[in-house]
Amino acid sequence: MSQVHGQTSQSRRPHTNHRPVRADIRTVSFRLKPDPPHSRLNHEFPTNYIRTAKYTFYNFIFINLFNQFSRVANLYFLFIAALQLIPQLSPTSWVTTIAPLLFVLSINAAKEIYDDYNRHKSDGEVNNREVDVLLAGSKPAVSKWQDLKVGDIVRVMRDSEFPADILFLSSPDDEGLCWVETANLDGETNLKLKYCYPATEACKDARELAKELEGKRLECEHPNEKLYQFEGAVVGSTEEGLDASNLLLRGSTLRKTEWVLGVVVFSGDDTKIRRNQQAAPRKVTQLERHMNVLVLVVFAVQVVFSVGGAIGRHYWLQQHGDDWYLEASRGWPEFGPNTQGALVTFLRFVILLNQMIPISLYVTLEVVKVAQCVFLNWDLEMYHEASDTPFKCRTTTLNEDLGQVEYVLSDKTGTLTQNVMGFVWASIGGHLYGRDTRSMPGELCLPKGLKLDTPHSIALDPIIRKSIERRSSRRVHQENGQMGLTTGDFFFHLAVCNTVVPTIGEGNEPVYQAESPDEEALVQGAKYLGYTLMARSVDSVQLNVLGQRVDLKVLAVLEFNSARKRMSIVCQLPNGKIRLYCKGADTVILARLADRRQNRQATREHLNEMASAGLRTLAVAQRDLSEAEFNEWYDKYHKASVSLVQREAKVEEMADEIERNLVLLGATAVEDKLQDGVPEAIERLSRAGIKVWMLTGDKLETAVSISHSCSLFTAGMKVVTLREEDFTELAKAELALTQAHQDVVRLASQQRTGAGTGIGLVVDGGALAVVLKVKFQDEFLSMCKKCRAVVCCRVSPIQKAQVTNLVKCKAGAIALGIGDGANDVGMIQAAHIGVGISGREGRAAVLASDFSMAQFRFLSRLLLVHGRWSYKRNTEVVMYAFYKNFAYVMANVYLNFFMAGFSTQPIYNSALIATYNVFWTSLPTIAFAILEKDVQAETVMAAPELYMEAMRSDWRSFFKSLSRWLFYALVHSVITFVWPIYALDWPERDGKLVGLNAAGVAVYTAVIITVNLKVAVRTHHWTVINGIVIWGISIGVWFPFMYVCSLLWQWWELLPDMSGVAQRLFSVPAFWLSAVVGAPMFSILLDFSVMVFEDQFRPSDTRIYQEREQKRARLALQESTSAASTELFAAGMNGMGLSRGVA
Amino acid sequence: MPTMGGAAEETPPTKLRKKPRNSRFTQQNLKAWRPVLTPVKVVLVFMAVALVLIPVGVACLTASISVVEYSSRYDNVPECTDRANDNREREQKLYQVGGDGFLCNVSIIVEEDMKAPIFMYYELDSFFQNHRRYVKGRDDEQLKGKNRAASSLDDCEPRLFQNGSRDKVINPCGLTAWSFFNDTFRAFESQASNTSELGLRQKGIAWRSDVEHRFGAYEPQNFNNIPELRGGGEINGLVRDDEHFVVWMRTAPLPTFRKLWGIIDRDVLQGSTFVVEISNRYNTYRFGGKKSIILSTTSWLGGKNNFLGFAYIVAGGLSFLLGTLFFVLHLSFRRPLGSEDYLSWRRSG
Repeated sequence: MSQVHGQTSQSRRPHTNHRPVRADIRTVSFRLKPDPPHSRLNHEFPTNYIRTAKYTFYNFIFINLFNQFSRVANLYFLFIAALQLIPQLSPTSWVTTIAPLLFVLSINAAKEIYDDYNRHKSDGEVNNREVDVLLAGSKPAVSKWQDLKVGDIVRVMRDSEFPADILFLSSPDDEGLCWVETANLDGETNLKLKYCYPATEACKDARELAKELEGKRLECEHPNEKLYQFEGAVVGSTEEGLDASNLLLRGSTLRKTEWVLGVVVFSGDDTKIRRNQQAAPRKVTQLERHMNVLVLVVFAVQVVFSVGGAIGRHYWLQQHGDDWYLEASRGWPEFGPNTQGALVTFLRFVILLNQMIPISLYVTLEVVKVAQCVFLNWDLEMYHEASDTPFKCRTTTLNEDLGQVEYVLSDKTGTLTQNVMGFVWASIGGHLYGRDTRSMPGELCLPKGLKLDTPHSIALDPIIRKSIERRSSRRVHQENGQMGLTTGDFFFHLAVCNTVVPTIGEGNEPVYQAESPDEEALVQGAKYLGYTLMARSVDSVQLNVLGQRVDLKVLAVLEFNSARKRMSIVCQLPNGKIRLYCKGADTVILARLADRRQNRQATREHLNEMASAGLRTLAVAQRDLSEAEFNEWYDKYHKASVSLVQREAKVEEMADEIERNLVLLGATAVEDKLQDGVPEAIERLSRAGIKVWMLTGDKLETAVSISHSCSLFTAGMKVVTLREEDFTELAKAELALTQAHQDVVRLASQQRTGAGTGIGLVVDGGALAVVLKVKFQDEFLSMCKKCRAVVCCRVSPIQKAQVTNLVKCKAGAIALGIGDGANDVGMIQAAHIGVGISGREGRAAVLASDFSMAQFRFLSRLLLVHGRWSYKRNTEVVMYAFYKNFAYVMANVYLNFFMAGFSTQPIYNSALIATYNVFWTSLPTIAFAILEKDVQAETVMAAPELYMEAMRSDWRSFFKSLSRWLFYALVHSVITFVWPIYALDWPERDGKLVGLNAAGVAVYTAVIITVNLKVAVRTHHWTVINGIVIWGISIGVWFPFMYVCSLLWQWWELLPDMSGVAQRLFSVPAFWLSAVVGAPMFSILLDFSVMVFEDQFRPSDTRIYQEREQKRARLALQESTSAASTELFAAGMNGMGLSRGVA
Repeated sequence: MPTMGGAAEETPPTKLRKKPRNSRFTQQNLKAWRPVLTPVKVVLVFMAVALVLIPVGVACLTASISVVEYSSRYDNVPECTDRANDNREREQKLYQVGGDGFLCNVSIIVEEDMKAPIFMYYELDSFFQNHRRYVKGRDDEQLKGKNRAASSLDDCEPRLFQNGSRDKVINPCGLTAWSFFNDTFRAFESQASNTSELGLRQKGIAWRSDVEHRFGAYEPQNFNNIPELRGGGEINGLVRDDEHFVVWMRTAPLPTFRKLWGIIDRDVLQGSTFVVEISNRYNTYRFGGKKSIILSTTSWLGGKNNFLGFAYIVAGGLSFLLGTLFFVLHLSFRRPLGSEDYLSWRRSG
């Protein structure tokens, strides 16, 4: 993490300090007494007030408008409106642009206000939390968080959060310890131990503190975002160093400790959590990127028409420039047939045709996406009842990208697996226990706290229980020929050899919290079998062995690290014997046995079995030491451990010396169970053509076995591995990569002929580091593209983000990152879409994510069902927006190019222009985008291949389908223009004529009916809402609206152009026949024909599944009706007839 | 299968506070009609559309055919232009007579019975009443009779002040009104040697809403009174009472347009002749526009207009053809409904 933030940290916030101290040091005075008036103590530091809200009451309007107008389309319309303010220039009223623009802006502003209101509310809540501030000589005063100042002495109580970054001064604990939970900070749920500043360890109140700290000051580094680093010192007459273990960070919570006293070091925006809160990168969907290009394309079209209009006018003027009734002027703004005139005409056409770009598109999309998100949040199929966690959209802008995901990059632990470690198998003295526990009847009397569904299923094995219950701890395992090693020793070992610090919970039962969940599982398993770790301190361990207390003296602890892959504890048993307990990776332990033959064959087989079952394995061994042996070693060890140079290497050497000649006790297997439904979900994703990559910190074997058990790798799959060994040198690496690539190509070609199921690729951590280098990226990626699944092992968080970036940037595909832990944050933020699993590892991943959910299996529904729907719906919304506006605006081109002498006479009057997008054409497309289902959810889940169609559409198919839409728009615009204009060009029954205004209204009527019918023919899923919105609101309300507008002029000087139009048109049969029935019907007939011909003779996959759904529904109905009335055939026929109406 | 997992180990919270509501709406399960068109249905739809459109088309065409319409161009008739040879000369002569124009007769022989009411129109060609500059050359409030300050009448430029003097605001102002059509007509019926004048009703020729609400009852002021200007008639009486003016003000969508002049409330039978006496004043010679006189009956659909009838028949016929084509194709390439053989991943694999 620190690498990610490293670059930005130093240069921020130059510090002014009035004290003559070094500029790179922050000096904090302790506020031990009430401030004297006008005190300037620590005044240079920010207050503890925190603001996450984007706006204030006063700046809202400015910032929001600025943001909105940074969208090109909005700026464009503002520009058009500005042009329209010049009356000589504008053919239409400025209202026609300003009214819809204001509408659009205010919807967005309303949304922003709502979001920001919530932020303000939560800010207010946090800032007004209370904490005790201590001052010498007075009672603790309650202060609001926002009023805390640097240097304040605060008292934080158990289970409350720290209000700022605080230097830990004291706690009730004798040793000056406290426990904190940092889940909000780094996602780790295990408790961490913090140590107080030693000098104040004994101070329990402000007075004592004041005495101790008088005349001292705190010097430390400037605020930074490094969570695990802190350098400082309390400086008085002496200087005492402080580090990160003394600092209690805001965002973490005090646990298991009554209270702590501390001094505020970093406040407000200086705190490490705030420094870490980077603005999440703004993500834009592929559709939106296409759309922005589209806006430009359409603008270009508009310009072409405008230029055409300017040229056309030039030639028209040569014929009609002198028509006396037009009394053409040669000055502003008309000019003659010259450049100025052409320019004015050009601008007039741009204004006239400005609606070719749909003004409401962005806001419609926003509304639609928010609504889709609401439905996502409501989906019960993605709600996890066990944890009461619903699905949550944290970003409302990425929906359609969910339908185009090509790569899923997944974390393993906690994402694919439950991150609940269970001690399941044990190989003891050549016997494998625990394998069949699940099939055994629960006849056993289970100890307290053990349930049948415990993850530690080893404890349920009756054989092992019996052998322990009988206290047959002296039973010798004959097979190994070795005396004295028993199941009892084995579990005794597990209880002792660990770093778990138990705490005593309810009923005197120890509760385990461990840094390593594996260890926790082993200790818990041992406890269930009667070997209970009761307490641990630096130099002693207390056990309860089958009801008896046993105390051991700890002589040395040889800690685990990833190079050693083992840990040991040297203890003195109650009987005085000294014994070394060692556990670690099987390869390491087996190599260190005294008798190399001992048990190895059987144990090795067991270890293999365990690994291929996807379990994490450890081998367990011990060694008895004579006192002399130990003392001799311990002297050397002690010297090494206090040495000042190369301490670690020396200690390691000493450890290596003692961890030899071990006697094998057996091996353990810990299972991280897969989450429910993971194999099915992965299989679905892979059938949908989505490539699933697993990025895990696990070692290769475990990762591969998990991959098999979660269906990432299937039986027929060939696996190619990039091993670390082959990538140690660059030259070798190049060769190895090429070789692997050739393998992949060869296997792929073999599979094309055979019935294979794809290729899997495994990349070891070391190899990954090499192939991520720029030089190899392309080849690596092209190899990965040929593989169905890729597993990267021993991956660091940084590498996760790097892999994600590689896929995102180079593969040109949508990548989704999914994970649950703080180590996945980089990946989640780098991916196009980040999904957080709200699991056991805190909230860091969820907070960084775009979507969060409780279980991995929901991903298949999220992508296949909702993603696919959203993509199809939202693409339709975009296409439709351009279609409808194009179909509508083109009438102006026809009128002016062919009839009105390029004079930019609008065919529609202002009232019509202002309402087109907002009133008559927006609701149906919104309803469509929220309700449409081309196929049902179950159908996609059963046939995930349907996902590919949406996934594979790129800009080429996007523009292809766009040109199709625009072609329809063109055809429709011709039909809806020509029919009403020519039908109404002749006199009516009473001899009167309708004129230009009314003809325009007729064309408009034809257009809105046509574009609404267009939605109708494209709707596959007709709910009541679709019906109401299309027929009732858009088409239905239009006629009364038109009537009312036509009456307005009588009472009120408004809409003269509409005066009497509706009354006139309604009485004209040609209007009904042309604008209302003929033109829309003819337009849609063409769409309809293309649709049915394609559906029948070139069916899409979707279409075939629609037919299958229909067939299934009919069969189901037939069955139910025939069951209900087997005798009455006629009744059955009736039912079928009905079914067609409803189904 | 009992779950062994840790998630199950945690007892589910007794109250599921965050559980979404289970309703048809929230679960996107609203009852819906999901039409899937089978081949038979498709053919039926095509045929049904044809079955509706073609008869309507035939009805429209029949109506249009039943209309009797005669038209006669008169702007180039020698008597109407004092026997001038070309447009330039015709214009010259119009100027010379100073606004009175030329009186002439145009005869139209009635070959079919015309039932009352018979409508008489004048038709202008190449006249851009739909030109932006022309269309906006008016002020609707002024036309309604409101008192409008000259400053708010910008759209009327360049016909806002008479002779450019600022105290003489033209009312009604603007290009449209200024170029008011000023030919006048009288109609006679001639049977054998017997000629009688036909009453040309010139009320009720404009939209009722226009006469009642859109145009005010006021005297025009400073209106076109320059006899030398050929083109631009005078308004007779109050603005709203001159229905020719009201008709003129409803601008036409196409550059060739007709305007209703008068109505003959009497049958005119086969064998008689219309004689229209024209005062030819309006100057279309400058821009080469044609002027015609039209006499026409109407049907329920209106005047003689074959467009709708043909459009409907073409649309219906197309639907019929497409339906037939679809049917034939369907018979030749039968595709079982919902057959998985046609799935893209089956075909390519």
